[in-house]
Amino acid sequence: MKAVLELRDVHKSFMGKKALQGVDLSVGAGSVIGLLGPNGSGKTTLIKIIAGLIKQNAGEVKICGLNPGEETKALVSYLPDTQHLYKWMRVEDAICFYDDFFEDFDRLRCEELLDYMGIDRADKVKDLSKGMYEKTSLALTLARQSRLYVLDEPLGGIDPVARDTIIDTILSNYREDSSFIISTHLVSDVERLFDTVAFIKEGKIILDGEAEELRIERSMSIENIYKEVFRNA
Amino acid sequence: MLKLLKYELKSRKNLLLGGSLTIIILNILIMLDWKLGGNEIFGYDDTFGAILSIVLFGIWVAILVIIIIDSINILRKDLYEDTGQLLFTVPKSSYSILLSKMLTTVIELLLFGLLFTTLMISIIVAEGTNFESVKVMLQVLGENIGIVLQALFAILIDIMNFLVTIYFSLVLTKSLLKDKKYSGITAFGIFLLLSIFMGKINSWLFRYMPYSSDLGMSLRYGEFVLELPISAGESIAIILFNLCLFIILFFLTGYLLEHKTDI
Repeated sequence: MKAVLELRDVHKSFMGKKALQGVDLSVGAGSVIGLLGPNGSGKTTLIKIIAGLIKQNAGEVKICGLNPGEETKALVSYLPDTQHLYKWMRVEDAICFYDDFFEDFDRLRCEELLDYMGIDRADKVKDLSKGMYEKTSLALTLARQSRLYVLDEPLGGIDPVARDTIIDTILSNYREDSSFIISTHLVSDVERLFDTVAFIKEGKIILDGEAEELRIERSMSIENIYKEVFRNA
Repeated sequence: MLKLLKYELKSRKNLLLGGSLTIIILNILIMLDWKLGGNEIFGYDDTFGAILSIVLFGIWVAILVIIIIDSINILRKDLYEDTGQLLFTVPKSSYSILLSKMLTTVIELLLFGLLFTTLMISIIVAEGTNFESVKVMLQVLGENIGIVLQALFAILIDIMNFLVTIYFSLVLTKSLLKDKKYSGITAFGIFLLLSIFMGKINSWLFRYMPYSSDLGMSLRYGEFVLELPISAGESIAIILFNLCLFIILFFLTGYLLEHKTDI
């Protein structure tokens, strides 16, 4: 299975503070990987490097064999954990924005997803509730036919009903030629999605492997492994 | 790049439409006031007309200030706020992003400049002035089109240089400091130092290579004849220096944004 993403000994520090310390990670086509760790563990830094927003100090990052940059941005569909859409936009403007800039954007698929989630295209982005905003962002992100989806805390601050909708949407979007990296600290809600998990602590991957193998090996759920690994974090 | 420009302009539609409409309405009011009873357009014996004129002048100044502040915020917000995570993940080069932001400000200035010129002409027409002054001006401009274009080009380069200096200062600060706390003062310091440096070189060039083109104009206004020697402003050497500086700063800013800046 050819890797969609390869990270080799990736280091990143901010003003002397180490955020990533020698991260190695490989993501094959068609896999869903859970990047698990508490706040401040380096998940967002790693994801931003993959999205091409920040640059590693050392190590190698390859996305479909390419260094992060203009070309890889066309291959990676990124959902940040912040409110990244312009406040002047209506939902319709955001759809047009994605449609204009991403060749792999499927407008019809986006509209289907928005209808499924009950989002009105005429709504102003700044007036959306946190849950509605997350759903809109997710619909825009998943409506791209990308090689790699990178979702940073897609469930953060979302009520349980909305969480189910979001998880169902992610599931319905699965394709064999695309891969997902989902970062979260809310493990129980999404652990059924993961093929592989990587536990990240203080900028290092301290445990990774096939989700099912880890469950059998340790006789516990991924959520309980998470609690065990990060008990003192 | 055009798509980027489209969204930059769309985000400023309130300023562009609101500002233009306000100015046009105030101009119409001034002209109506004059037609319906005022003695002259900026006549001081017509209180209402005078108030309107002052308000209009205030709005012009406000719009200019807003455009200048906007020209800084247009990049600063994307560098320091969450929207950067949308803009800088689109598959476009940092050079396209920079250029689209600069062109947005230039277009704003051009639009309001055109509006100002159009309204000034309409006021002259409404006032019923003889058109001799306008004719003379157009004639002189036509005869000196090369120099006029040179002057306009120099102004354009000056505006682009001003913008690229701001953007270079912002991007260099962002690539040096992660903390937003001191970013404003640091960027301002870099901008100030660069501006002083550029000013010194400009005055050195002006002193040692003083060639500049002059337009000699005589404008007749009623019974008055106004001798108006207009300098094209900047020597060729200064224009070339500023052009080179713009190119260097532009590519340096783009490089920093692409390779050294964390969003």
